Amino acid sequence: MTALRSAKTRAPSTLGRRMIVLVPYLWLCIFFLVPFAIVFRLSLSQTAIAQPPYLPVFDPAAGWEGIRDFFAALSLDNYRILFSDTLYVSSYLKSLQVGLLSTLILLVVAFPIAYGMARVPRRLQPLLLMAVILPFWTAFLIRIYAWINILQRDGLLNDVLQTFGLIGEPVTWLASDTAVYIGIVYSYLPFMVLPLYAVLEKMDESLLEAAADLGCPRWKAFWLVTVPLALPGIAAGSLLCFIPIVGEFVIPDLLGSSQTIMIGQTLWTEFFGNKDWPVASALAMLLLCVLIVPIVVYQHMQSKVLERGR
Amino acid sequence: MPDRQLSDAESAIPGRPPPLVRFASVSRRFGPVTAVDSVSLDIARGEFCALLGPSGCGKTTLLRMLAGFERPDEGRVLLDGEDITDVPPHRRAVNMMFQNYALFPHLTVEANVAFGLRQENMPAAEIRPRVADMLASLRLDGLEKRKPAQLSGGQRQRVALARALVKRPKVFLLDEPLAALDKKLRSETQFELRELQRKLGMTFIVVTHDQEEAMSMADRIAVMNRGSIVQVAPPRDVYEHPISRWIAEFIGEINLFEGVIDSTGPSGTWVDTPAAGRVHTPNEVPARKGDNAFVAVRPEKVLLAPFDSDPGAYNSASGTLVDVAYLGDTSVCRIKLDRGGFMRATITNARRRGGEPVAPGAHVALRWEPDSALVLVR
Ligand SMILES: Nc1ncnc2c1ncn2[C@@H]1O[C@H](COP(=O)(O)OP(=O)(O)O)[C@@H](O)[C@H]1O
Ligand SMILES: [Mg+2]
Repeated sequence: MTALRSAKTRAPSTLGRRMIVLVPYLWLCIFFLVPFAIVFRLSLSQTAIAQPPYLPVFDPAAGWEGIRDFFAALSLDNYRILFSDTLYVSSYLKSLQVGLLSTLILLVVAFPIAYGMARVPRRLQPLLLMAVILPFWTAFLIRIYAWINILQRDGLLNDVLQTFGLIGEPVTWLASDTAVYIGIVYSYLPFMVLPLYAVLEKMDESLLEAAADLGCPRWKAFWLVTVPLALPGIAAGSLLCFIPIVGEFVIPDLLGSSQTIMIGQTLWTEFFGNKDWPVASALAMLLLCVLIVPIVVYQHMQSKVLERGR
Repeated sequence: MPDRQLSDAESAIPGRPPPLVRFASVSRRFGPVTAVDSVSLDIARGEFCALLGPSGCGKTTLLRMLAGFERPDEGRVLLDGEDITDVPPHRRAVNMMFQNYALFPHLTVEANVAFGLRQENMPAAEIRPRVADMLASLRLDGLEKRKPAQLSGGQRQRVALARALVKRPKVFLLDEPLAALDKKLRSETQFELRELQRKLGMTFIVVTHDQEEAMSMADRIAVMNRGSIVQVAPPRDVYEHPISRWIAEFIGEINLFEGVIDSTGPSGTWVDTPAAGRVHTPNEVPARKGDNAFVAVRPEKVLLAPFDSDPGAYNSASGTLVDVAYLGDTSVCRIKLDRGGFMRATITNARRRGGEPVAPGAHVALRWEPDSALVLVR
């Protein structure tokens, strides 16, 4: 009897709930699936000197015949090009290398910062949090230009190093991988610090005391207790940094050398320089495939964490 | 490590085994707060000792100094004759059960219990049977692969016990071990802990703010107030012979009457109280005629008698019964005394039928044996 009534009263609310669930799906559909389909279709086309600069163009006026011609003209040629030219493969590898190494550096730099933030007296924590977020208040591009200033031959960094007698001759920082790593680590630091801080701040300090009580020295407790408990934050922060870093364009373009080119720059050149939209789209599709791997791994980890919570 | 030279007063009393644990005038301050104020306490091997006191009196801080998480600002901590004041926690042969249990959430029950043995670099073949034995003896077998989040409160508590006990510490420290359990489980666990301690012959120090818990488990209770130990005695003595008014009021219910000492000596003490008249107790107190004192008598030692009966050698007062609180096993009567003030008397409900023996509004006499009353001068 009561079950019946409650089922009745729930009916409209399930409808409402479905509508609410629909909103993110609709959002995903419009802003992800549709653009994805467009890019995928472009990657199967051929470049052409025309407006738009690719073939075939879908012509609804041609009717059934037109649709058949359209599909017949699609091909995987662009993907073949990507694998035949070492330029593309090497820029993929370069991007992955930069992505992995900078994520690793970010972890090493961000962990002590986040750990310190989580351990200072609680009333100081909002202040430090503010300090981490503060750089976002200046435009990203301006901050990168500032780095050009710092890193150039007669820039701040060389000045300081020379003043302290650490170097004799000015060092060329700009237009090197080092500059790219500095720029990336600087720009992405908040994205690594914040998720780490979130997990470390929640961590119960008595767990470390319990470890010590059971005979575990502090350095070992860090590896046996702190790191495993920070794992969700480590995963989130790494993903949050790794994915955009692999596709990074502005930082390597402004701070890096023209010798090492990341996939973002290759994409840009294909799209705006060579006006080859189909090859650029194929590049983008492959990039997506590469990046899906860590996302799937992360999803898998998340569901395991959720299971454990229950 | 060289032992610090102990002064004569501090060294062991001849004829008694040396204490396993010794706090020698330890103090610990947090800014302006003196959490532990010059505490000295000896605990014997195999003893079950309780640190009892109100919240914030420094019990946990004292315990943490033995575990090594707080360093005393003054004084020394000795374990088995060895000065361990400067030994870090991971090298002390004591283990602690934390108030929130502090189980590792990312490890299974089995891995939690094995954690301490792994730190001793014990071979896995030796760890496995020891962990299994421990889990079985605490009725945790079958839960080995669970994570702490998948356990009930009582199970978590037993995992915390197992994790510390499997290390076979010289001293086992328990900080409010039962506080997170519900009432029924709490009283069962009290007896289990007591039994466990007897079986293992291990030294237990338990911190609690619950007097019932301390009384039911401990061989000896150290009562703490504001960072100091105010009395150390077996449960019965703490209850029957509290040495100060504060302790008398902190442990159990008690009736207190302010008065002035008339005489004290080997034959007992006479106190004149405005509320209960002239009261006689058999004990001598360190006070002189004219000093202020309190007469203390527990409610269960006060008898209700017909108003006009003969008091004989008993102390006596009279008043009007105001109300009776029926608690099942006992009833608590509140009596407004004729000469001012209130008094409580507990009566045992030994019969099932018949209602209350006295009704509110009745004029009654209150009697208690001279031996039941205490004179407190502090
Ligand atoms: N880490 C600390 N920092 C500052 N004050 C503390 C700290 N630990 C304990 N105290 C203070 O010391 C006093 C005793 O605390 P505690 O030993 O936890 O008492 P109990 O366990 O008897 O409730 C309290 O006033 C408490 O506020
Ligand atoms: Mg406490």
